[in-house]
Amino acid sequence: MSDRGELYSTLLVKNRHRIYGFIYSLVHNHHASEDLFQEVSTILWKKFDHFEEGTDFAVWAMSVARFCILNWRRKQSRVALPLEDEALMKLVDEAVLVSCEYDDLRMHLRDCYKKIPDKIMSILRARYHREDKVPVIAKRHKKSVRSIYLLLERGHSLLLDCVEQKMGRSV
Amino acid sequence: MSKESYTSKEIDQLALMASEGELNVEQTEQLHDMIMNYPKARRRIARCFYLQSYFKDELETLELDSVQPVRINQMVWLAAAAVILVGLFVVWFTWPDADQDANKVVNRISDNEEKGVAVIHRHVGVVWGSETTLQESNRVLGVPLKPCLLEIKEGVLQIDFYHGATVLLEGPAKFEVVNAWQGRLIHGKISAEVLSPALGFEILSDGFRVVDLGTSFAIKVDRDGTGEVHVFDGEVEIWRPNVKKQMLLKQGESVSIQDNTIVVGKAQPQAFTRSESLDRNVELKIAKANEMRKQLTEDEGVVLYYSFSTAGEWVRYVENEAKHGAKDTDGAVVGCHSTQGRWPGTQALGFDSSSDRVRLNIPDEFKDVSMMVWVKIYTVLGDSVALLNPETEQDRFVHWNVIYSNTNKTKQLHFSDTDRSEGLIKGRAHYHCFTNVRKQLGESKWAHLALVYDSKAREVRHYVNGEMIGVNEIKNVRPMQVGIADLGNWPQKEWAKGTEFEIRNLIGAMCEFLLAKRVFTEFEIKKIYEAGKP
Repeated sequence: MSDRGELYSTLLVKNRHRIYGFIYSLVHNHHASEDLFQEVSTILWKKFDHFEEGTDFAVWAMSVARFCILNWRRKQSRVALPLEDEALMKLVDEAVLVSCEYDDLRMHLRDCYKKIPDKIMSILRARYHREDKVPVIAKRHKKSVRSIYLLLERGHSLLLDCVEQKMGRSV
Repeated sequence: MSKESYTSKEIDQLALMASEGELNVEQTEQLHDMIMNYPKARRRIARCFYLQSYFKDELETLELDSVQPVRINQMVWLAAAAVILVGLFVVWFTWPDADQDANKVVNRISDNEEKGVAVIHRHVGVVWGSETTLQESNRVLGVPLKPCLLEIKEGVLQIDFYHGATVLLEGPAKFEVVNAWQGRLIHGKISAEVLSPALGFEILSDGFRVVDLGTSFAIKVDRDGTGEVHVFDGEVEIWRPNVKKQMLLKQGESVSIQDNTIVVGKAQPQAFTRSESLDRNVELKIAKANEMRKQLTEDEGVVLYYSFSTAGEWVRYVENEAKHGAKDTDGAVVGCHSTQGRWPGTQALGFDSSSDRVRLNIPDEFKDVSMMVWVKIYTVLGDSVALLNPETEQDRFVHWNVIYSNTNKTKQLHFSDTDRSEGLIKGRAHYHCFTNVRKQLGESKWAHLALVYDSKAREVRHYVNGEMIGVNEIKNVRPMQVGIADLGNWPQKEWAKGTEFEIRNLIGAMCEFLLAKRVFTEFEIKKIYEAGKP
């Protein structure tokens, strides 16, 4: 592997979570996010000569990813975030900022997740790690779809409140 | 449609529905408004979305609480290398098997459950039923409860489930603690306060299952299986056997369920004891008891009044709070420990070993005597329990005991006075009350005992819980003197070693011991009991 190739690989490895998280934030589908990540990786490698060493690789990657995402959205008949372009761009910019605090977010989540009751944790795991659909989870847990949504929402709230507290902010 | 601000709950709700692709038109407009006009809401939404991606990527690492960056990084290295060297291959990562993950979590839950699933937070006037599977020694505050059956004949029991639900069981009732998320009401009444972390808490019964959706609700189940569910705040789901769709019951609504018949009505909060009403009730009772305590400490006839509220781990005496008591009549606490009094937040003195006692000295002689105490007996080791027992190397002394018959399973009250001089007993009178008070003094219940030595009427009268249960005639009226004596024990007697008399220490708790030099009437004793009963 050339020195340039090695540098690219190192940067991609180092920033993988930030870039993937950014894509997923705007797509909300893991399969599509995986495809987009590959597409973005390819474009980044092709354009890697334009990358200025010492600058933020993830931010550069996200500027590429944003166009891939917009392109992807145009091809979909239905998307999870039915936002107009103006609001979507605001959210894109925000997602870039959140990606910059990713290391802190990750560190705090390691403490915060311990506060989540087991039952809620098992629902979060089923939904986001195993990617089970909500009605499937509801059936398995013998609960209504509505109560699963409430448990997911509660899990999000507990984690976000904890993270915000640790980051010294609150809504 | 812009508004002043959005709550965290509103933001999280919309962020979730947006990520699930379930927003309706109105919600989409709201989300748009949040993103465009509220930077903090926008940040929370973006963080929420990142959170979901984070769970996909790192949940396993997180739960094992050991970072494994090398493994993940190696995989990404491979992905990057594949892009560079092989070309446009679709490369992705493999994730651990979901079942393996589930097993790890099951292990974690099992570990927690072994330590208990709930805890008794408060109990007021509880009389335990025989079907209770919880050991008697564990029927105290703060002891972790494993799954068990609880039967209470009367009183109120507050159980805090580990995941945040609080259940108030109102006797008579039978309730099973199933796990940290579930309870089963067999019959009786409960009210439940479910905090957000316990969302999804369930109460089971024969005819239905109630799933909480963040709320305050109450359930009543009759012995014939008829049930009622009342919602005071929030919402609950009611699931019935063989009925596929659940019923949603909202704030202010109630439902009566009998077999297949359902009748919807209004919620009736007044029909149930709830935490706040329990608090108010307890506060009122404590206030009433304190008022009586004040009256008694100011009574000119009361020479000794120990509330035991001053004793602690490091304070080894109890103060004589009687305003007209003699000097140097504080009691010395030997052993003993502080324990809960008749209500949460109040204090009593616990006795649990053969050395535990309160040593006192009241040298004065009295013509008449009244004694009262609140006592709780956990178990009887010998054939008597000392309430007040004397140092017998004195000229005069009294004994006040509970006598236990293992053969007849009876508990009776006994009082005696002794006149002694120059090492010889000149006179001793026994005043034994044959009424069996096992019921009043059983099952670790607080009981109010009183004794009156009335020289004018020539009577010794025995009282339990404000009721006179026996009278003995005094043949020889003698001056009464307590002198040096022990509460809850008796001064050590070498001669008693190995005899049936040796063990008479109290295993239980005591509060509010009173000694007066005047006769308290039956009316007064009843009034004192009523003001102080749990």
